Amino acid sequence: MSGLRAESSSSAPAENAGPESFFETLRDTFEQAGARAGSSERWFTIGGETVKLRFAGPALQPLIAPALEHLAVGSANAPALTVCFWDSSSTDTRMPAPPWPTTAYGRRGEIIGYNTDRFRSVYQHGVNALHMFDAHRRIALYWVAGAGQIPYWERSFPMRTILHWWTQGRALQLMHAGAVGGPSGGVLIAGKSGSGKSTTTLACLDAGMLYAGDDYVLTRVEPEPLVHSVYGTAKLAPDNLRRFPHLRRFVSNPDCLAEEKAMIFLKDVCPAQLVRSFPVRALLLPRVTGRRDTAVRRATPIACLEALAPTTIFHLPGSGHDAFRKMSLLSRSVPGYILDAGTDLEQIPQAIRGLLEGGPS
Amino acid sequence: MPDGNLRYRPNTPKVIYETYDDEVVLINMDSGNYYSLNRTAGRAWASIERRATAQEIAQELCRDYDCDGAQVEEELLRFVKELHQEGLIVPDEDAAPAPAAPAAVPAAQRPLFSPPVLQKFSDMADLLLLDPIHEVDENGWPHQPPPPGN
Repeated sequence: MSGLRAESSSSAPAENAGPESFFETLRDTFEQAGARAGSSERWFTIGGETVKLRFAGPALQPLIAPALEHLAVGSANAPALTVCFWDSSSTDTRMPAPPWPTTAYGRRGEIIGYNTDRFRSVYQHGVNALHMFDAHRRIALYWVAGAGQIPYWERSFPMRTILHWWTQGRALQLMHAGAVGGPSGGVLIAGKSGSGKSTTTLACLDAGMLYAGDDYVLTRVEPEPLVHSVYGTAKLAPDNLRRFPHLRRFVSNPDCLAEEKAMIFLKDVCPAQLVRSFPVRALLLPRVTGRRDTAVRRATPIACLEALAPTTIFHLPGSGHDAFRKMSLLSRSVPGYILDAGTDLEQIPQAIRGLLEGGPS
Repeated sequence: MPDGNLRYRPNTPKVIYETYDDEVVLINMDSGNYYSLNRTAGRAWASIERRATAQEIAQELCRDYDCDGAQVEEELLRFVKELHQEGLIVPDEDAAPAPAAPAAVPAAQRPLFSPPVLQKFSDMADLLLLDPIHEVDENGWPHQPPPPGN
């Protein structure tokens, strides 16, 4: 569905509009959308700081907020980040035309000429969403033509690029990893899609362990590594659901499993196990072996970095050396292990608990 | 084969890399490919950072490993050519000669030479937009189909 109205005569690009000028134009557009279609706001604690999400129109809050629900707080003053969400379709608001040419899109969607020390801009291909961020005022804009364009996976980790921008220049880094553990600390589970991150984290959840995420977490790399939960979701390949049959009734997209992973909002399943943060004691690299038993062996810092960094960097437009350096620092500062995950799921949390209590068995 | 006397430098900032204990992870931000270097390759990479030529690196390695000098030079030329083809290094002809090599290892303690290995991973490359934008809507915003799961 296209939410853009065919008012082409009034949608000419603003000639020579730089990032600051276009950002202001879009902020005005967001306010107009809110005035026209109604607005709402939600507050969350992310990475230990207060984040305010503003929504114009009714369509996006139900898609964006559920993944963050476990971090919800009441309203507060002076948010550390404000994100403004709107879509053209439900607000019946025309989006100004882009002031850049079609040749300005970089290979990760970065908009060439609109990324400066202060402003970040990316067009998320596939979602067909524009994100902009003003680092001085810590305000971000998230626009999409129609809510129907937002795929299920974006609902599982909404605004990850914006959160990445927000943490740049600080010790925090959004990382493509899961995290499970206990009150005194846990493991960061690194690896690209299909490596066994979700199976490992869900097996640990079943065993009563604490859960900070299965796909993206925010990690403070110094002075002491600390993981912050961002998204209280779990995604599971449909054929993997048979290993977690008790989760089937919580699947939020049961009619779409021919094309989508099963997505579960864990606040509905085990709210007491969703944790805001815990210290990182080790990095874990899962491997699916097909064997019955689970085993743990040491991994080098370079193997950890190789599992963690490329997938994080290529999923987060605008990331590069700074993110790489932070992940390198983390890989050097905690021990790394390869988890040869077996098919007897109960052994997985046992192995991880063993690591947390004093090293591999 | 490239000239063994050419000097190169890491192709930063397009290439980012981190080294730990002679092993290296490199990411080519342009292509989406990433790489790991074994210890021999990591030693050679550190020498390239100092602007050593392939011949100079081969000489350094021959002082530290039990090896056939001709084989080491051949391996280094191949390795440097591979790094260059992958866009990981670029010529740096104006560079100053490399500083002195590390001290040689006593002959009796030299380990057997193992060739430098550049291991390449291409599984992230499909996250990059490979084709220019062709489809835009009536307002000029691109319309791309959603990528597969994430």
